[in-house]
Amino acid sequence: MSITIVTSDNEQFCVEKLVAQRIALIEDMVENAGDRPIPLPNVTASVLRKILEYCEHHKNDPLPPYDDGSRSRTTHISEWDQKFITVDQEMLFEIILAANYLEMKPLLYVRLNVPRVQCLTACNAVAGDIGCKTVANMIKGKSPEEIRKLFNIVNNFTPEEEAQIRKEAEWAEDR
Amino acid sequence: MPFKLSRALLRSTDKWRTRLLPDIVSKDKSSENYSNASAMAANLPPEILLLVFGVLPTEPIYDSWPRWPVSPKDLTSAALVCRSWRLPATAVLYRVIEVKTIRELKLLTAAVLKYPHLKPLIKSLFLPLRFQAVCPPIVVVQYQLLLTLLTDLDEVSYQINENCVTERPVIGESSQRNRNSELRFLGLAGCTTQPFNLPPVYAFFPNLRCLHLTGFKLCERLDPDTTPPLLRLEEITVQVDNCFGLLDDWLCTLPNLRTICVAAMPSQPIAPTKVLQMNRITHLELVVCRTETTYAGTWLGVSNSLRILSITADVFNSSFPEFPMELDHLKIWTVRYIELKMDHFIEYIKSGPMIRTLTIIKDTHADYFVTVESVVQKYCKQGGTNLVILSENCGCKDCLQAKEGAIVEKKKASTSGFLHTAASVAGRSMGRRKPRRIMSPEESEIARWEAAETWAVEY
Repeated sequence: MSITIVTSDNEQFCVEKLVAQRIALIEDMVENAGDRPIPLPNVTASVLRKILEYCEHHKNDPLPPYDDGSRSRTTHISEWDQKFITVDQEMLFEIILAANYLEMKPLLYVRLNVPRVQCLTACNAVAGDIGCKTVANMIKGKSPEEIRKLFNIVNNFTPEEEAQIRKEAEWAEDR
Repeated sequence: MPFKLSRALLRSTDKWRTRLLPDIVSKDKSSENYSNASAMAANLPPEILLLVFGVLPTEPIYDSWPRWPVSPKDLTSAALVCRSWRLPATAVLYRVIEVKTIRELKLLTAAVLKYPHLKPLIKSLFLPLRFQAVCPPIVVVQYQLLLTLLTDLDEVSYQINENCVTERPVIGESSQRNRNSELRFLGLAGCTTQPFNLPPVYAFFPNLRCLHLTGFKLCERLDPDTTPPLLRLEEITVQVDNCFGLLDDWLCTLPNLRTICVAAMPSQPIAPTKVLQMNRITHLELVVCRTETTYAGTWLGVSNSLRILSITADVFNSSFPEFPMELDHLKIWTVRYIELKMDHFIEYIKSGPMIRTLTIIKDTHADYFVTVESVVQKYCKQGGTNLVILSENCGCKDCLQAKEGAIVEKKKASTSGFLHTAASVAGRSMGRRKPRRIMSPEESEIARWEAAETWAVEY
């Protein structure tokens, strides 16, 4: 069985149901839509193509195994995911934004908190957060100026604001 | 030999941390179409930025529970990038704070006093602990000063001294409402070399979910008729004090208690038999309580509900063959001076215990394990047990020296690595401060205390 999705730039995608189920938002909409196509006004065709590629690859992933938290904070990204996320910055942010909009938690982020074993059943939806991790890895170890340069961000602080932020974080300056 | 491998007093568990993100989330969920990447990075919605900053690579703090984003440097840089990044980065920076020195504590207190918007951001606060030294009054006063300022604290660890046990500690006093009843995690330290009576924390913090105690001496049985129950308490940890026998009756009145951890005793601690017999304790942790006597019939084999067992190798060595045959998770630390008796262990694994996950954590001294690793692997595979082997530094001098030369090793050290980090940070700031000027008596008192050990007991 398959589902039709229409992107913001009016391109139609025919998607296998198993694949679409990886996308929470679509799963919710399928119930109400019947046979009608599902519109995604916030996602362009090029981004959806990318997202579906991810879903297709991960469609048979089992629920993640029990994890006691000892590995939960790694920034490891699997080889396939690494290749998948090797895109230009614009696409990287588009993927993150679309994954957020589509409520695709696995693509977007690793659960921030891992419950203890008593909550075994709560172990759903953990996988990649490869987008956020990739951006985090880009930020890591850089100075504010280097980060601005990397992402082409304009410094819009007044000197007073900057001084205050430094003061606020003064306790951490030796780390 | 200094080492410590119990989960530190300070670490809390996740199950009561329901708050995933601070309260800064944009109202508008939809993402606008940005024309190019440069505008995109500056215009990412706050909830995305929170996620990004939340997965910044971290150094594990404390032991086997490295879960907090403690990378203040990266977060400070992120806060300084641009206005839209500032609040999300500050929120993540302030969410969990581990203060390492009194100098940092004073700076933090000053910042919170000067910029009140920071107060509600702090959810978890871990203040410096020196288990083996009496906490100077000046430090106790500093701690209390900061705690009364915080309006949204969920988790805290700090140290007290004998003179303030009768005083009711107050969290968030100055914010009109007292936050004591909302505290979920409390790690309280006295002094392991001069332990004193435990203050009535159960009366001070009625809604605790997790309580860690180090450096106290319980003198008499805690009477459930006169001691209020902590109705929400899920986990209790006691280091150094052999008090579970005295706590037993009271523990029976705690309906949600599931986890008991005991660490750093000179012998096998007395078991809380009654609460174990109630069959609701699912997780036991027994570490560094050296004994030749079997744990079977005292701590093990008493409760039918045990699902997770975390132990140092001595517990297995002394208890086998009477050792649990069915567990969700068995976690064994094998470290210097506590080696697993491999012939017995292989016999055990071979006999097909139903263990879903077996985690072996070995330190740099446990070379012996390498030679038998493949055998263990083989039998785990046969029995359908998921085997995880982790390596780490124990924090001793030899390890630290070895580590200086090999920075690559740093990432591997999850359990005791914090010792090294704490030691080096303490050393660094001490070293820097020393030559500047002559210290006041107060400062030298603090410096003496800061130089004391961060672990509970020397072995």
